[in-house]
Amino acid sequence: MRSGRAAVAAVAALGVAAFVVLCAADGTDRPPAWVLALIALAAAIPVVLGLVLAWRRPDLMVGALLAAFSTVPLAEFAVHAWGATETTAHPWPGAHVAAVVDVGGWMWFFLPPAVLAAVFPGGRVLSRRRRWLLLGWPVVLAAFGFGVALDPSTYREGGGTVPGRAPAWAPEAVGTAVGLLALAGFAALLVGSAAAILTRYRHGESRLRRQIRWLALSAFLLPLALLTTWFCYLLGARSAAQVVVVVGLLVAYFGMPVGTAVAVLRHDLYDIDRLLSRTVSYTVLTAALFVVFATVVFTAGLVLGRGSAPAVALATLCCAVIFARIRRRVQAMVDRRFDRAGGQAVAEVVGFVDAVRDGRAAPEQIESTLRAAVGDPDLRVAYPLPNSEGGMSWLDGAGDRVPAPAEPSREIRSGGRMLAVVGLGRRTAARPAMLAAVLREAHLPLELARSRIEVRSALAETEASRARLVRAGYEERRRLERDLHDGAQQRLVAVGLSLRLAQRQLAPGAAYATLGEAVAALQEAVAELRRISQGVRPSGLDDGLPAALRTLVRASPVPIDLRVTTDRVQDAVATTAYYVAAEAVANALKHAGSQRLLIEVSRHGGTLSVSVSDDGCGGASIVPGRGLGGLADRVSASGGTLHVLSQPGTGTTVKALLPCAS
Amino acid sequence: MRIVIGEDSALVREGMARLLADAGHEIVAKVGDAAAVVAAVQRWDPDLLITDIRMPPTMTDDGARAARTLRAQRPTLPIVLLSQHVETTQSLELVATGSFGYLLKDRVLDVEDFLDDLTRVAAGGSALDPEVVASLVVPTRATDPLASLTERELEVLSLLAQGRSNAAIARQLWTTRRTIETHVRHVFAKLGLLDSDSDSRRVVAVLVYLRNRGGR
Repeated sequence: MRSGRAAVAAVAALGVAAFVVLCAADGTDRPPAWVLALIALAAAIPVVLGLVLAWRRPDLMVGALLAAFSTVPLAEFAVHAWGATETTAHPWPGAHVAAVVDVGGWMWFFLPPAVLAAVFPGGRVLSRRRRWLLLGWPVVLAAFGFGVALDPSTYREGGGTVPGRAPAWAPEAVGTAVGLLALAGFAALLVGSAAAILTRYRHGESRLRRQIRWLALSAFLLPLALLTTWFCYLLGARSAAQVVVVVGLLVAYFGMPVGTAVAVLRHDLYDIDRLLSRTVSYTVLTAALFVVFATVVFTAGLVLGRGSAPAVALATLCCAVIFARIRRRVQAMVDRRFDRAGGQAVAEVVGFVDAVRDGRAAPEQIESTLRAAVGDPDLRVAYPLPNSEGGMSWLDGAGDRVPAPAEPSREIRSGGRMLAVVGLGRRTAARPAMLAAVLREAHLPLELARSRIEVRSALAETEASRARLVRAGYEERRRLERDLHDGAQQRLVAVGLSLRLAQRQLAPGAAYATLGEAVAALQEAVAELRRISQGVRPSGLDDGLPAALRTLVRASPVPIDLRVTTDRVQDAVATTAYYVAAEAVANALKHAGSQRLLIEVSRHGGTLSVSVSDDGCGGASIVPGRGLGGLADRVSASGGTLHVLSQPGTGTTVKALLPCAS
Repeated sequence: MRIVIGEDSALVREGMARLLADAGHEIVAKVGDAAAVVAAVQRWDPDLLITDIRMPPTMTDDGARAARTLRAQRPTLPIVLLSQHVETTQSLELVATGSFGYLLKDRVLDVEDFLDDLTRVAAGGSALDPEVVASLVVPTRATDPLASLTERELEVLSLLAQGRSNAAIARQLWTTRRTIETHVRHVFAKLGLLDSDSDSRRVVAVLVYLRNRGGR
């Protein structure tokens, strides 16, 4: 991926060669020396910019294209100068061909800006379909040159500048047709390139837009200038046409490198900020070391004699020691100066915000993003949330409790409310400007993350309290059942025993029979209590879920197959499972007219599955507030899920999946 | 008979003791928790133990556990468990071992039946509460052997399961002993059980049969 460097070197070498030709060619309209010097100076700027880019990003062709901004015009000037030697006493070989090529050479000037517009800033065309924006250029340039060569008006006899006349072997119409086709293709290339950068601008995210705005504007001048020129030609205003094309090209030639420079320097394209700071820091280092070296050599020279080898060695040693000591410090200092607001760090956070918006990242990842962006492994983000004890808890991005962040830290506020606190390492806290810029960009994901954590923790709290309510309900039922058995029932039996004893002391008679009736009524009351307490909490649950289900099965008027493959589960889970089975069985008997039922209970890892299937008429569904609906509430309060599978005619299956700790 | 009573409700305990004393039994100990039950039996070596299932300390099945412990130590000790609710698995298992009774607590109010049950258990027989039996003796499917019994035969089977002898059944159903013996033969044939001359062995056969249907 180093082809970018090779390309820019080749382009720069070509430029140097062209400049040499330009200086050496002794033609009729050779420019004066000061103009040549000016040209060299102007041409140097894009080449240097291209070299810097290629050095920084060897994988991109953009550097070579920037260098081409000076090389291509130089090449055209060189061809012109070569052709101009034809009319001198010593014409260069091929001067006639060069003169002909020079006539169509103006088209070359459009090549660098158009191609740059087509591939900026990534160095590639947008899609495979747009490859013709690159491949079209050699075809169009060759075709136009061919057309010009066949055109009689190119030659002096036809009113042109090139000595001689048009070749006789081809009819004039062919040249005209090829030339016109080439011009049409040329216009298409310019419009296509301008459209390419416009498309990139319209579909890019905000940062990319800022980067390519100026370049896109200058790119539009290309087709505009060309079309205006042709319009002027049609109106016969030949000189006006030439002015328009020159001005248009000049603006593009000035605007596009400047646009690229702006994107690079102001909007952090290609991370140039850091490049700049490295360059400066090494310059400072070099200067400092030079001073040290000179001082040591001079001082040691006074003692050991001028030009002595030990003095030089001592100076070198001093430099090496000092270099190792101060390099990092100088770098940090320069970084603070030049990496003004941590452009790179801000860019990383902005990229993260884009990723959050596109759903490629979760806002809770802001902590790791900030860590990477400011290079601070100690950085952490904590969100203050009111807890159920009425106080304040600090939560991290995963929603786990963490200790409050220690100083130094920054509070993130929104409308007077504290969203989050960012705890920092010491070195990060020492860069307030950078930090402020980074945290400004991080505000949105921080606020989003906080909202999400808040909602999640509220939901978890609700679920937990619902589960607690259900457990409390079960406990209450158990207590009630005990009270019925150990209290009321016992007393009734005791009263009955007293009555029986009284009865035995009486002789058979009216009172004897009355007491007998009273005891019978008491017995019925006890049986009634037993039924009620069975409804409050099935007694079999004390002996585990299977025992309770067997009792349920025995009480059923239709046969029920029971398949239980599980050992003991916690009481709350067993109770919920029992109610699922009992309610589903009651439903099947009441509504479905079932003749056969099947209860299956099994356990897979941490999940207890309870399912009740019948052969009834089907068509059951979960309606809030009624039978299965109440069951669904009970199950979900225990953290489980209830599924009802019921097709008319094929029976109903009610299945609950309940979490149970192993 | 010399009887030990384990019952945590003082009212019930005293009432029961007076009733049994009134019927001519000797109450050697009246205690209120499971540990005391074990201690009393070991101390007095009674003819019969009557104990509540739900007792201190845990108020779950402490009485039943005390009974199992004592059974292991004294295989011939007759035991009657009193329960607050119908429980089938555990009760069948215990009663099928013989010399064992499992009755709902309010059954003591049917004084004559209760005394009968006690006497029978003390003599090595069984007593299973009618309500428990009723929940067991229900045909569950067309292929269930119980479904092939006539109504009268089901009645006889239920009384057998309660631990009654043929004579007692005949009295209860106002018929002759011979008729009941015929019914019993039919029931045993239909259920595929081995008949026996001994009343208590018949009862055990029926209880084992009912227990083995367990899964349903």
